[in-house]
Amino acid sequence: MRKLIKGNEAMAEGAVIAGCRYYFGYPITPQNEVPAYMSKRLPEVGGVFVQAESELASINMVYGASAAGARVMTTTSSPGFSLMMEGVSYLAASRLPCVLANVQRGGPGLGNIAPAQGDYFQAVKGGGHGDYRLIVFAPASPQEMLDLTILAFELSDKYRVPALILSDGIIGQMMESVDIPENYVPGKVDKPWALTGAEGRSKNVVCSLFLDENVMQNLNTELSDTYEELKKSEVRYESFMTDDAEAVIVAFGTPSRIAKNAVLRARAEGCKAGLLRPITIFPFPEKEISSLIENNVKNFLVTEMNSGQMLEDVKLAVSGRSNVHFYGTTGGVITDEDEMTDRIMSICKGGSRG
Amino acid sequence: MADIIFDRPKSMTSAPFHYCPGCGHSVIHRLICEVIDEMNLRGKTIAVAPVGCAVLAYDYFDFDVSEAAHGRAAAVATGIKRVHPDKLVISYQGDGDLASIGMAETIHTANRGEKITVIFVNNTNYGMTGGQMAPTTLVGQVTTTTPKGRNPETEGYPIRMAEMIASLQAVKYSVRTSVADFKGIVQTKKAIKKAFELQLEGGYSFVEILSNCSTNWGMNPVDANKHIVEKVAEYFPLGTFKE
Amino acid sequence: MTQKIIISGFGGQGVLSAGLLIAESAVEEGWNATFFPSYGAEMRGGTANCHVIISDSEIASPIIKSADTLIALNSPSVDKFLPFLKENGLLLVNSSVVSGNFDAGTRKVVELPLDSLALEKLGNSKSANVIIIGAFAKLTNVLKPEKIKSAIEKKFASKGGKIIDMNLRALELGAVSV
Repeated sequence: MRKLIKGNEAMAEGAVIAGCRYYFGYPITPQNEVPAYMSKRLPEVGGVFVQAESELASINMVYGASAAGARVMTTTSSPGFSLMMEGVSYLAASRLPCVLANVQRGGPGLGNIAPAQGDYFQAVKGGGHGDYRLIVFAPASPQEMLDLTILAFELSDKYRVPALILSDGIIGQMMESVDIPENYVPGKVDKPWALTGAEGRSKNVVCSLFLDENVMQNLNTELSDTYEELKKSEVRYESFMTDDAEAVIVAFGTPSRIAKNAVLRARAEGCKAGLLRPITIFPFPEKEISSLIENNVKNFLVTEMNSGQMLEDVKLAVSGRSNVHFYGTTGGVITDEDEMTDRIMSICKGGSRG
Repeated sequence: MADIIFDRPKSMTSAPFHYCPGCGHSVIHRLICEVIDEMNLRGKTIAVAPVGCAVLAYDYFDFDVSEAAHGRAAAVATGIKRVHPDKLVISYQGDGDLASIGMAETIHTANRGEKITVIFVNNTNYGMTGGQMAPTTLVGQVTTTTPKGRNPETEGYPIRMAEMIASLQAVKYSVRTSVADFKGIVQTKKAIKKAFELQLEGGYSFVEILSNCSTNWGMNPVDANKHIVEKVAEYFPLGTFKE
Repeated sequence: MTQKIIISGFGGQGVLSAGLLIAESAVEEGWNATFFPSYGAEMRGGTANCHVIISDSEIASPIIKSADTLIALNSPSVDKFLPFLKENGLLLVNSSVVSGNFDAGTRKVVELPLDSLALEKLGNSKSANVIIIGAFAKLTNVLKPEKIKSAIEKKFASKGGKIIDMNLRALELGAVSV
């Protein structure tokens, strides 16, 4: 079925399609369509919606439901995700699968409700305490809000790593036609560790307290190994006109859409521009950046709605082999298409702007 | 061979308690396990352990247990119960966990009428971290953060949780007992059983248990229990506040 | 073919539902459409706007920098969004509430007294926002009337025949008024 729906609603329906029957959330703009949708939709499919008293409560309800073996979700926006950080660290440490979403807004602090990408570091570098990662998806359309949410549930269960949909106010609020799969069968993953009552078996314990530092180190090693596995097997990205590109824009989410226009406009002027759009930002498509360099890309223009966060990951991947330029907007200001086009053109012409 | 007349409950592991000698936690753990055995619920129980002295409760309980972040046990229990409405879900918490950092979760879980049982161990201080003031610390009580005794002018008064919980409409059962003497232990066991029964009938139940912290109180266990009966229970009256 | 439309007015004037109807009509046509609403605090009485892009090819950014059409339902909308309208763009104005004190330069300006039209010809002002879509469709020729009609029928299916009929009449009224 093809339907014109909001990104936030597409994400919610994606969760339902993936077999998520438990949603816990607290109101915050610009993601309020998700709890509204879930409060109506989940009871229709025998699921449960609970409006929690805070994001602290939501994330810990998610912890409980995941420990109990269920597919479960919560969604929020930037300040709310900060509040959840403690719980996210616990989820990662207890290896509890779940899908979280941060529909980012302007920050820091209370900021505003305009679309932004200032939570990249928080999403991909940890955010909570301790040494952990999430599987982080960066959808660029309502369609991807749905598709990547489904994938997030599958991968989270498979790797026992919490997954995060890192969206922004535009992708959440905008409407676009979305293909809604009608016969999707959610993956079945055995969860012998889940708390279901110890009838006929020895007890299960879900926890992240290991007072023996060697045991704790073992858990950390196990987590690192899983993250390496993700880097090997689950990197996703879109390449747009990169085959013969000499200058490549790297952008995720909303700026990546704007970048497509900039690439087309630059090409019309004879500048061989392209776009690399990371779809997973952890694991990050660093190998693809390397192969672009081997393919003669001399310049990268990282474009984000923040002051340069993914920029660091691109620089790490480039490792000094090409030039890395940056164009960012902050505080909820949306990437300007003319400005981006000017920058990539000037890079093409050998200018040093950026 | 003599008959065994006293044994470890089946729902309890053989791990030696890490609790201080005379601590009420050991007694309360045992009472919970006895009731679970008597109600034949071992395979149907999922408990949530707090952060505090009872953080290792899952070492002693021989049924499914989840740990929770400090103060969030009621939220974790909510998540578990919503997934498994047919299971007995117990949130086991101390006073710092339940009445300070987790107050919001405590009140709202009760207010939603979540079908869980909260076992609240009130020993009037933060035991594990070395005896700081808790929301339940008595006026005048010396702790490591109230060296001159709790002053109500600046620290307010101890919070009576069982009474506060009882004021919420969705709550089915709220009671305060103690494990300071034999009578109290018997009453506590009855209260726990009642609380489990009411949960399984579909309601929220809350059992506050006065328990000693002899180490941090600087008393021997016998005097500490006497202190509960004579002093602590004066401010925190035993009784049923809602049923 | 790509048409970029900004619709703006007071919250409560049907700004968002008008934008949505254009997007839905484009989908009926088999085109791509994006709809991006302002999502601030303007539930009623404040300013509301939305960006609608309809195209037969892939739509990059849903945010409009340079609009083909501006539909302004109040004066602040003209002031705010006129700079975003192309030099040869179309400005559709609700002259019931917008005074003529603006300089649209080389742009084509079409004024329609939506509120009085709606009251006089339809008996109530509820469908004023659909009148202007009828005018927009006629003037730009990018949406076929039958596609808009079928979008209206789907949109108001749950509200009953009377509401559908009123909106269809509003659409027609807009088309014959320009």
